[in-house]
Amino acid sequence: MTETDRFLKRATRGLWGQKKRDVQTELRAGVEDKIYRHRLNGLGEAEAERAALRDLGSPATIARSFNYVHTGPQLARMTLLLGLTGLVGLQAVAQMQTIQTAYKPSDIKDVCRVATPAELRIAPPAVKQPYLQLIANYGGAQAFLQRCRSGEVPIAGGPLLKVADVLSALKAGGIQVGDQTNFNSASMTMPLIVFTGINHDTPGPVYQTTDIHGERYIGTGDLIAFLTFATTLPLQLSGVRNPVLQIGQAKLQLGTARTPVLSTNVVTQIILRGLGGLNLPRPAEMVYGMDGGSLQPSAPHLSVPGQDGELFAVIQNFERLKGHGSEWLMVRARTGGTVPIAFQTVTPAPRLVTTLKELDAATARKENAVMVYRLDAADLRHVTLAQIPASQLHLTPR
Amino acid sequence: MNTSAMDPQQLKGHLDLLLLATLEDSPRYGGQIIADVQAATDGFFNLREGTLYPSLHRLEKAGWIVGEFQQLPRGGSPVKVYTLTESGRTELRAQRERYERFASAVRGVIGGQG
Repeated sequence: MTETDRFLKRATRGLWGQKKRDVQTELRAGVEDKIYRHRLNGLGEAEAERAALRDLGSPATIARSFNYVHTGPQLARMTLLLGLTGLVGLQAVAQMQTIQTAYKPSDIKDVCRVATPAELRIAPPAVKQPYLQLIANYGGAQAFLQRCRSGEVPIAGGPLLKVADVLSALKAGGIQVGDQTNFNSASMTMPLIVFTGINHDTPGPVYQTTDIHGERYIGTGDLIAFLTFATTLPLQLSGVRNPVLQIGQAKLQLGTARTPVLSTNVVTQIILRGLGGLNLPRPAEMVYGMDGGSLQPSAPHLSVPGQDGELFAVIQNFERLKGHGSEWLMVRARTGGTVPIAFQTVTPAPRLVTTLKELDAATARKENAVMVYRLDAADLRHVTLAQIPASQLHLTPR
Repeated sequence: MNTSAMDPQQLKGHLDLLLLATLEDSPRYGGQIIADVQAATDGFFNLREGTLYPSLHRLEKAGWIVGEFQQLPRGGSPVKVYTLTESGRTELRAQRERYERFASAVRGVIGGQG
């Protein structure tokens, strides 16, 4: 794979199918054009390629811009928010270190706002109605804003975890991860303090930490990645709401009553980061539907084999067929024998399939389809997926 | 000496106008558009060229321009050539007028040559 290939792949992340191929072709021609111009100015082939890519700028920024254009920023946020309402339950009393949580100020700023009349005018009824309902559920625009800003409204990606709490819990449990607060005792496991901010372009284990009001925070996916490298112990996750992460003798309760963490979203982060030795096809190109929201009463569910509390990964093409990007991945815990497969009504009723190949075939026929994996996430180092035969799934409209 | 680069926010408001104006006389592909904008503005717009492509897609989505892949005689990957549509022409006129009104209002305040 050439440098240009890698660039194109990054710059089109999040796009899908023909659209992705077209954008890659267009950008490739753009790169070739720049190379051609740099060569006319006397640069060598490799030098010209590097200069061309530098001219184009950050591939992540380009990808973000394309995603904005093709999904629409506010519409995407509104759609996202619909799945993210949640009533805050009582925190289980536990004898362990609670890891405090917070959202990034930039996330709060993005999500904790009310759509303008102009934005509502362009929103399709399928988005607009539930959106207005959601705001009303929070007690109106002002109450929504206030509760959202205080961290009560779940935001995609989940809340971040306080690094100081994580380190003290690990220390209390006798887990050695080096002195993460001291630059001078650097080891490969000290990125909790070295890498602040995002650097997706660096190969190898990269962690993103964020400073909020003078305290350092880390995302759940990044924390698991860190622990995977920093220890050799199993990473055991139990419970659904504010789950407990046990590493040897260390027990970390992730999340708080006000800003809770759900095990489903933790596992989703692992899938998105490609951790856990997972081999889920196309993980980078899936949209993930965050757990924690109140669904429309008419949202379809599937009865799945197993016990309540077990985790399942639903993959569906409903949003893709509506032109909203790619397949959706929804990690959900079985509740009352079922898992939800969408946030809203799905018509016509989806076909139940067993494999991704069948799902793709249904997509080609423009037919709603859904498949389900059973997730084994007992040890987050080795998350495994097992297809559930469609014959064992049953649609249960509520 | 270089003119100082423009504030990205300021650029955002005029980028559409610039892109549409570039396509006014004849269809062009991304690489040409970038070269044209840079030549015309003499480096005043300090922009990362890659983000022009998403902007072109945004204009295409609005129906102001249409893109079509074409093979260049020099070979290589096919380029996407953009053409201004009728509604794009109307939009260009409207944006131009808006810009002129804005510019003359500013001139009214700061003085100097019209």
